Amino acid sequence: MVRRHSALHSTSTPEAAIARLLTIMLVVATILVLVSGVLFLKAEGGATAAYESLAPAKPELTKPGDILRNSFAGKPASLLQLGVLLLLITPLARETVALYSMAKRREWAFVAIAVVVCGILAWGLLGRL
Amino acid sequence: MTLWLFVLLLWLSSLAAGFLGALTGLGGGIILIPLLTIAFGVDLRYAIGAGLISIIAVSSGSGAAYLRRGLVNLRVGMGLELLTAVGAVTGAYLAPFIATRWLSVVFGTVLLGTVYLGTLKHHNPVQRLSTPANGWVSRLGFDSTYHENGVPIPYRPERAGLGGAVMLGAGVLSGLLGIGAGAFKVLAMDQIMRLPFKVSTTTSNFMMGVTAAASAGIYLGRGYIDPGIALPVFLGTLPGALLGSVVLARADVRPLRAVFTILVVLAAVRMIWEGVAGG
Repeated sequence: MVRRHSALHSTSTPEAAIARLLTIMLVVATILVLVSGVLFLKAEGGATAAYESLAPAKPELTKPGDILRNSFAGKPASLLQLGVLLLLITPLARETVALYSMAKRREWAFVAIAVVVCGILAWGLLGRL
Repeated sequence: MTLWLFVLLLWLSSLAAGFLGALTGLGGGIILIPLLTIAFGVDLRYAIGAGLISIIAVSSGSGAAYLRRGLVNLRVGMGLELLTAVGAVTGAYLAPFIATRWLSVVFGTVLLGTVYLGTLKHHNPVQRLSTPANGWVSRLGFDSTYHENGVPIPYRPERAGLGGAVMLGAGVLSGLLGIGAGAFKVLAMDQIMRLPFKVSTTTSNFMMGVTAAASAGIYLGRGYIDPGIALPVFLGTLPGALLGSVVLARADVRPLRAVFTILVVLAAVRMIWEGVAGG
């Protein structure tokens, strides 16, 4: 029992690998959103906030491919959305690590579950490239 | 209102929502969404997108800490995530067929349900390894051990099938309303599957990220996730929730919880009333 407890704190368990990944992705997303957020507000901060009704979807803010292209073109709103997209991908990355860990331990039932969950997430987030 | 001012005010509100959500156990999304629609006059669909952002941020942030402490039951979490993810996608596809005013009614009702579930007595952790493991519990090996004050406490979940069905419903609510539906996830794990309460809440929190991400992609495509709202919500709820969980461990929050519960009930009644009256 003591050995199992200490194993939780080593880097070899799936729990530890997932925890590390979550922290790294969250830090990167926070920095990206912070920096692009300042640029975004400098560019558009003077405009009136209009959120009383839903505006039609803009490709540069809704399609992952367009978000990426417009970010590289230097559009602050798209760069900010890229940071948000990175946050939204965090659970997918987490599930991928879980999938890998379970495959290494030959837990095939969990591998199958993780494959389906990864598929649902990838399809929802990135399916409209 | 200029975008600058809007972002600043929403950042402060998100900080407060994350803090109070963690402190009261209601969750950030369920506070943030009524705040956005009632105080800021934001369209409910933008508010749903904002709710999903806050859930993923908080789930990823606190999930890491709970995993390190060995509280999350990863196998139970992964197994049930399949059902919440399927439910969330279903909810996200149902949402456009429901008029915004009726979504508001559903939200208010779920808000009341969340408050009610918060008043239920927790299942007390007892060693249940004597009960025979059957069905999914033994097939997927859900038995585990967690540590309370350094003492290892083994436990065996039960009724995984019924718990899973409630999880599917929690997933639908999450996808439909942009909330984590944590109260319903804890209901499934704590009351039905008889997992220790600490394991239930931390595993629920951990699962929320995947549940929210399953519908977030669909909502992103519909334009519900706007950068001007996502910016302050992400940067506000995460530090707010982390601060809230630190304070929770050290202070008696019962009086605050009581006052806050009344506010939430009022918000719920208002959302139901506005929806029914044609809001």
